[in-house]
Amino acid sequence: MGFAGLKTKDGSPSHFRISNEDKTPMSTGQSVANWFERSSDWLNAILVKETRQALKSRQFVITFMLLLIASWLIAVFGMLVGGDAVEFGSTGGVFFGFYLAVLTTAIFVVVPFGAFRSLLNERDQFTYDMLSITTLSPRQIVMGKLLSALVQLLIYYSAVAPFIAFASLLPGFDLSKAAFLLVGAMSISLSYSMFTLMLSTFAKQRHWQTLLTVIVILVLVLQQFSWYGSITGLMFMPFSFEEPEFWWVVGCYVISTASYQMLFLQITTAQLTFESDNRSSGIRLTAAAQFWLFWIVTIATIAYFSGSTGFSFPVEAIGGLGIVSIIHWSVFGLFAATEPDYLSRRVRRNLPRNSFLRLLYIPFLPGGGRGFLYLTLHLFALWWIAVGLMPFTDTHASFQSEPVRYLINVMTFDSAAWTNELRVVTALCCYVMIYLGIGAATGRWARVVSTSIFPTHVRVLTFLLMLAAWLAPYIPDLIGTNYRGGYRLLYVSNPFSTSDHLWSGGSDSQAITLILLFGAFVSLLVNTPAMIRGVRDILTSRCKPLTE
Amino acid sequence: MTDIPPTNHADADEVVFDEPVELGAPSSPERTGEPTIELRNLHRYFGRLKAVNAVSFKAYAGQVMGFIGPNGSGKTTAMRILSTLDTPTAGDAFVCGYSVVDDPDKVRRLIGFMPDSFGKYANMDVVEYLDFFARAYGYKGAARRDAIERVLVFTELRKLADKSIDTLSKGMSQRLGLGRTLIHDPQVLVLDEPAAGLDPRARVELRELIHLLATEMNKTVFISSHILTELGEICDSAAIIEAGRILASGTINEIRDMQRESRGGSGAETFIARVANRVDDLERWLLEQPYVGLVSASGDACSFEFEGEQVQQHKILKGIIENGFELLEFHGKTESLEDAFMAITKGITQ
Repeated sequence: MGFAGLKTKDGSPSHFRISNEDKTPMSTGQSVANWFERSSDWLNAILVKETRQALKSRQFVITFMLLLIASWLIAVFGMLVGGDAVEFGSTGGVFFGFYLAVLTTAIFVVVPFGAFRSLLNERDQFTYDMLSITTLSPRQIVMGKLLSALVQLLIYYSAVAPFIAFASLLPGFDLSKAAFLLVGAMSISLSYSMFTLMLSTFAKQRHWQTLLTVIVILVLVLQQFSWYGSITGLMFMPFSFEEPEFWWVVGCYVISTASYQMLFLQITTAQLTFESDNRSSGIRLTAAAQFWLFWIVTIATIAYFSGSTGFSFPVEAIGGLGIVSIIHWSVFGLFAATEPDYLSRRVRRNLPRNSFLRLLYIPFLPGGGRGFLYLTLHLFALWWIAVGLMPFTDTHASFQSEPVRYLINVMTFDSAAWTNELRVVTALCCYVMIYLGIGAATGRWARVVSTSIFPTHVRVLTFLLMLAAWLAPYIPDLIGTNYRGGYRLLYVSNPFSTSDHLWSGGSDSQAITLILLFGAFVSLLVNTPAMIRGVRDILTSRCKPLTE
Repeated sequence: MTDIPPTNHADADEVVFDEPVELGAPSSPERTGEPTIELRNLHRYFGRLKAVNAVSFKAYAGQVMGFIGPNGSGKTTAMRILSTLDTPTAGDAFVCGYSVVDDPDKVRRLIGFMPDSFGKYANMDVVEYLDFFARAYGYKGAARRDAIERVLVFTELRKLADKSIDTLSKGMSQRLGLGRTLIHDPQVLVLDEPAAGLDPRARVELRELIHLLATEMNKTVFISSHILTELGEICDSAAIIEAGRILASGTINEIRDMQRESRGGSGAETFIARVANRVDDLERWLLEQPYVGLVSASGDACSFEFEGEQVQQHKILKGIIENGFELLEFHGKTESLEDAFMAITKGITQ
């Protein structure tokens, strides 16, 4: 007999009902309430819980009341101070600016901090364990927290809405601009909330939680003060809604923000995911999508703004954007390449059945060997993008009709084909390969020596190794007396001074490039067995589902 | 090195795991069919600390199994692994045949875990709390309302349905915790120290609820507690763990037998006869009887070890009366679970 057949102690079935389901005619209010009750079945459970809790919380009531009081005071004092002048000039815009300042205090500070505390409290008050053994997925938990932040946000908007409506009746109120700023503020607040949610998953011990809480409060408050200054500027800045360039820039902002929100969501979800589950693929896929989006949007933007003059890519942009991409891959590569190689049975079971899809999916699967493969492939892609764009620059426009010849020149190390920017991108790709390759190999070795080595240790070790390699060449200069300035080949282990030297076209650029390419090749060779193992492991893995 | 497959640890194949201890599962004749709980050579290491070390045992539907061990013996770690809150370093645990490593989602539908200290959400009343967990387990509409209703009835929390959970007493909070654990009608219940901090009445009530869950609803209840007398009353089997290793596992009687064996006993039962007169004579008389060994008199009572069958036991009793001893009381001395625990464990801490 299951719990479903349970009777009361006296043996009679229970007739207790939580909701009113009797047959008497219902008032409109009750009907609406029942409709909401039924609709809530389809809502995220966390959203329902958090909203219920938030609406009863002292913090919410106080913030809501303060918003109303502050907005009311602005209206009253504004009218008193302005007198008859409120009917002239741009008082509508000024009033709106004040309301926006009040609103952003709530939505840029209180809402993100509430989201941060809400997930942190789950651990702090031992409720997360109970939550995590329900059938809610980590993603549902995170989305629930984020959506409840959105609900609070909307309620705060509703508190200020009547006052903004009042401001709209005054002269100088720009409805399009106000709507744009309100929507923008909402998206920023949600971004902050997502970011603070992610931060909250990193602090698992009480002392880190306290420290992180203080940091989050400080950062939120400080950024809010900078917003107060920005709002004044925004009030008087003309917005060119009719110009396509404006919307293009907004589109770029939306894409980049959305991609980072997705990344934060993936990281937060991974942090909450069960240990034997796949914590890596979501982040790897998002990082790859970000990389490709970054280049596609950049190329499309330059093409768009090139207009009728024809597509021309600034050669400096290849170097600059290449550096941004390198930073991106240094961070994600460090995390991917230093993961343990072990693939859990659970992940193995969920591998794609189709061999081709499985092959494509390999770099995105957890494991250090596959992580290094993932990094290598994307660094190759970056280098090819840089090489591919070079004929579209002003300096190499002659190769536009002969891209193959340009490629041959690059492969044969023709100095004319190798611009300073291409050398910088190549050198930085090599540095990432070398340092992360050493880190990955050291991590594998360390794990063999000791079972107490975790990925975090390997990452810290890799970072320290890089730091030592960057600083070591300067030690002789510091203790010696014959330092004459300038770049020396001894500094080749330092990516910063080397990149600077290559960018300025140093005479030994060719030699440095070759040294770094050799280093990257050795690193690739050292890590090749791990990459092969990682690939073979997936291709030969049987992924029979367990019997139901 | 054993051939235990590593489950989650990156380099578990580099770890030398301790050999599993072969302990029989509770072997009551009625325990047939598949086990609802099975720990198979489970290991959980935290650095060098072997929190759970080669633990294996089984439990079946309708069984209340006690999990007994001193503080830091690995009880909570094993329970957390079983509830999919932690992953084993090696080995596996199964709930109704589903692996906690491979199928945590399925295990979560089948298991209800009540940790020793579970937090309470602020600004929430009893119904909202249960409603949230019902939603979290995917219950919708009438099914959700029915699930909440059943739990409120079973835990007798109906009167407190609208009360804020912050204001509930410890006993009522434990009931609510049990209700939360039952909301999705799980087959297996894992209760970690559920009676801790409860007053005697609340403990008795909780014991009744647990008994009802196993006997009436055929659920497996896996329960840890420090109050061994209480566990002895509600459990039909137990596993004793110390320093991460299972020292004894089986039905309560089997564990008592193990205790006797661990003392070097030959299976003799201890009896106590209290008389109104001639205790010394009774002692001498008993020493002359067959199947009787190790007699000792203390006050007005004589205790003796007896290895015979019931027929011989009857003869002894008859002989005492026929020889003119004024018998006031005659009974066998039952070894408590506490005695067994003290005899089996060695007080090792990690």
